[in-house]
Amino acid sequence: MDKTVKISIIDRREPLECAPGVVLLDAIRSAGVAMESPCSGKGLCGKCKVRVLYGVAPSPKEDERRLLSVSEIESGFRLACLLSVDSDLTIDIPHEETGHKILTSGTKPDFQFELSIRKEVLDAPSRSPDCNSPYEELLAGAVPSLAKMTLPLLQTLTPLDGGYKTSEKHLTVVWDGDSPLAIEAGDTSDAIYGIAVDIGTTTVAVALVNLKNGEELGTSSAVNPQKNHGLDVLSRIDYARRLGAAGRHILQSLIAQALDEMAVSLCAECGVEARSVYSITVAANVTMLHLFLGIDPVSIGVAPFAPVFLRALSVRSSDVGLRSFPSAMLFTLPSVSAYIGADIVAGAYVCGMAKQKENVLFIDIGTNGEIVLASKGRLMSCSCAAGPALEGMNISCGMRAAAGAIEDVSIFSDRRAENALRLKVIGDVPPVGICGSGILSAIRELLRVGLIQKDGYMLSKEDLTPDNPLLSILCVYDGKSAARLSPQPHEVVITQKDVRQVQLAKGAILSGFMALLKKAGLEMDDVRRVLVAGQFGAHLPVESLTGCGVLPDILKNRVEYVGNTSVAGAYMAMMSRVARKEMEELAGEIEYTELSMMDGYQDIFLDSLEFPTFKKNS
Amino acid sequence: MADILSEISENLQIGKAKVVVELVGRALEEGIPPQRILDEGLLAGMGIIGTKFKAGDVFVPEVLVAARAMNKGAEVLKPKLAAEGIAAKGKAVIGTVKGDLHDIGKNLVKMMMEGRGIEIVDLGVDVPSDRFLASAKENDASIICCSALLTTTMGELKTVVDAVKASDISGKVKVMVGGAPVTQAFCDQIGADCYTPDAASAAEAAVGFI
Ligand code: B12
Ligand code: FES
Repeated sequence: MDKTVKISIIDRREPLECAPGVVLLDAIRSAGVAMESPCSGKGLCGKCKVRVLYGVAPSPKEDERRLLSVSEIESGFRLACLLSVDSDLTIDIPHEETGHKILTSGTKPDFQFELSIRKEVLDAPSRSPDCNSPYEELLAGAVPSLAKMTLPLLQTLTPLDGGYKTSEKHLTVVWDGDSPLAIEAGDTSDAIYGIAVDIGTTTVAVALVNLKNGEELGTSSAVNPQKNHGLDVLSRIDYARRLGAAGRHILQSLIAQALDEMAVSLCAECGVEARSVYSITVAANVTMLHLFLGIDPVSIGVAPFAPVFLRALSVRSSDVGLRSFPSAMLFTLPSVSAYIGADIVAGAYVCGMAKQKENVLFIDIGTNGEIVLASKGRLMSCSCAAGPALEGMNISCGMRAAAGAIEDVSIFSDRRAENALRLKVIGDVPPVGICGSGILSAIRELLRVGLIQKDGYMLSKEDLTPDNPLLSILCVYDGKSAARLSPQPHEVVITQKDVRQVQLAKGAILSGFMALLKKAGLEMDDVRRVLVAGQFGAHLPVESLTGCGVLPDILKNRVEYVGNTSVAGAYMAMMSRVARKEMEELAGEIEYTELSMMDGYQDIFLDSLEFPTFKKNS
Repeated sequence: MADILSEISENLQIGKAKVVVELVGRALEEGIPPQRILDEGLLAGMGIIGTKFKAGDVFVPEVLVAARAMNKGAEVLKPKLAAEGIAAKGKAVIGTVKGDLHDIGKNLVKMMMEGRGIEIVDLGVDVPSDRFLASAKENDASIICCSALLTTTMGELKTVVDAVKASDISGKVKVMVGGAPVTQAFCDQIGADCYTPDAASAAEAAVGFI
């Protein structure tokens, strides 16, 4: 008999039996245990942490040593994607919870409803009890345009239980424009619903809407299950490339199934029948749209970054595996370019960017920052590759916004050492790490009190006088000066390397602004409003944005948070044919600037790396 | 006399290109051999910046201004060095792989290598493997340096390594790989000759290959 190794996971009853040499991450995955692996198991992100409690594991290789701290290695932490298991092990998978609530709605203007979905109530055609001619013909006799029904339409007919029996006096035809979507027994004209969706790379948000009056009946959100195959869009594209059609299929069904399930439970919660949902409208970035529709995303991942499609699509929702909604049409919003997707078109639309009289900047801050500038009727956009530092990744003690994450930091340089720091921690528990908003606030504070210089250099103890109360904040970590926010055993520090990561991320975003302004011939001060959209931006207070120089100080009082404008745009496209058409026009009007091709971009980027300076005593 | 060399080094480190050019001129007038000005003035300064960059004490903009100052100073020295028959230490071709347009990291590597006296042929961005190869042959380079910043273009590094292995310069030219997502493990896996996490160590390693 072949030898196997047993892997026991705390909190799970059955140990996994695997072939010796199996990569731990693969073993965990094949057992159906959810496990975060943002870099899709390449040993780059350091987030697939597990703790080996019993058993002997081969000692960590260089890559693992680099991504784990010495104290983590001492306490048995390992990276599942780099550990091959040769003998029985017992491991613990640290749990992840979501702390911040996911945004499911955003600003939207008043607008006229103009549905493309409409219901027509007819007298049911009469039929003798022994008539055996097809229902299809019977209905076509009553409504000539129903002749030669399509397969999906035939599939909506339920002649036996819902009945086109002679007893039923009415039947209702559901139209999408002039094509029939469904035929229902009885008069169902009151029940007409739709679902607006934002598929984010990280999270999915849906809203159930009563199409009769535009009322939002409920919303829900969930983590995008594709996350296990890479955290950012490129890692997912790479996954699809490596696995080919099979990978594409896996990613497609993951998102379709998750969306189907979310929508079904939302309907159930609101007492709406799934078959009364006729429209599912989706906004998302270009990669997410490709993956959701089962279209090959590979070309989005390499220069010249050409997607397969950008335009709005309208298909039967069952065509993409939304199985529970037989009568619904799926509409996906149009995009501008590979990295300015339908989510941004939606946002620009709901913010009325095309109608702005003043200069307005719209920004969706995230791993990829997308920026749109409206100036004198012209719309310009660019995508700046911030990287995940602002979301707590690639940061020594970084973590997602979950319980135990430091989310805000204040430093009081005038107080005694033991009171110099104040932390706000999600869930009011002792801190174990720091999330994106925490990192920005920490750096803002360190800049303000002068422990970080504007070129990003972090002072060391030797740079301070012995009586300086700030001395207590500095420590030595991995042989370098660092700021210590919380002591052992769950030491949370900000290192020089972390500061450099934030500098790159903030520099990327600021450089995007600067590049667009330069193109439009504007100064920063000419910008009247800055609209911050999206899940992540919503958690970044203005002081952090300007304090770290993501935005220049001059715009401090001009920032507005507009929420999840992607789902708001999907909502508008669903409620109004006019809005839908205008979004298609808008997508064509927004100009795209590829920063890597822009003259002088490198200098703009380098200038943008500098942190702001603070006046003394502020 | 040694003072002026350390002055060159110090001004180079803070990116004072004009002062560096001036000081190099004065050092020549004082009769210091150009090779010594290069080694103990310019390259010494660049070496310090490289070490500081590696440690995180200075960042990309500081390195770039320092490198600019060094290049300006080196321009003054070039004719003198050539007159004395002193050639560059060796040659390398560098570029960002096909499908990728990121070049800031690549530019840093280039400057650091130049700072170590290596002559660099820069192929720019989006460079297919056959161009790396053709250029290495044409210039008789002993190193090919490839940079990749995207998960989706890392695979191109292997394409270059394989192309070199299958060519007649296999064994004669070393392939160095780098870029944020690249690791030592990845380098080993694709059989490249060398990986370093930062530009300063890249230049150091390159000197070792020449
Ligand atoms: C600046 C930047 C850009 C600029 C590039 C400008 C330019 N001319 O290079 C712009 C805005 C144009 C850009 C565009 C894109 N980018 Co970009 N970009 C970045 C950013 C912010 C910094 C990269 C950088 O310059 N770092 C500084 C340099 C000095 O570091 P480095 O390159 O790693 O180099 C060092 C070492 O690696 C080493 N090294 C480098 N090369 C070599 C070679 C050898 C031989 C050796 C030995 C060593 C070595 O030495 C260097 C110095 O020490 C990163 C995010 C981040 N935080 O890192 C994203 C990032 C690399 N970009 C990313 C993406 C996705 C893109 C885009 C494809 C999409 C988009 N959203 O715009 C586009 C188009 C791509 C393109 N142009 O090819 C992603 C990649 C994600 C992934 N999983 O692969 C990142 C990580 C951001 C993110 N969204 O997560 N980007
Ligand atoms: S390091 Fe293991 S999944 Fe990223």
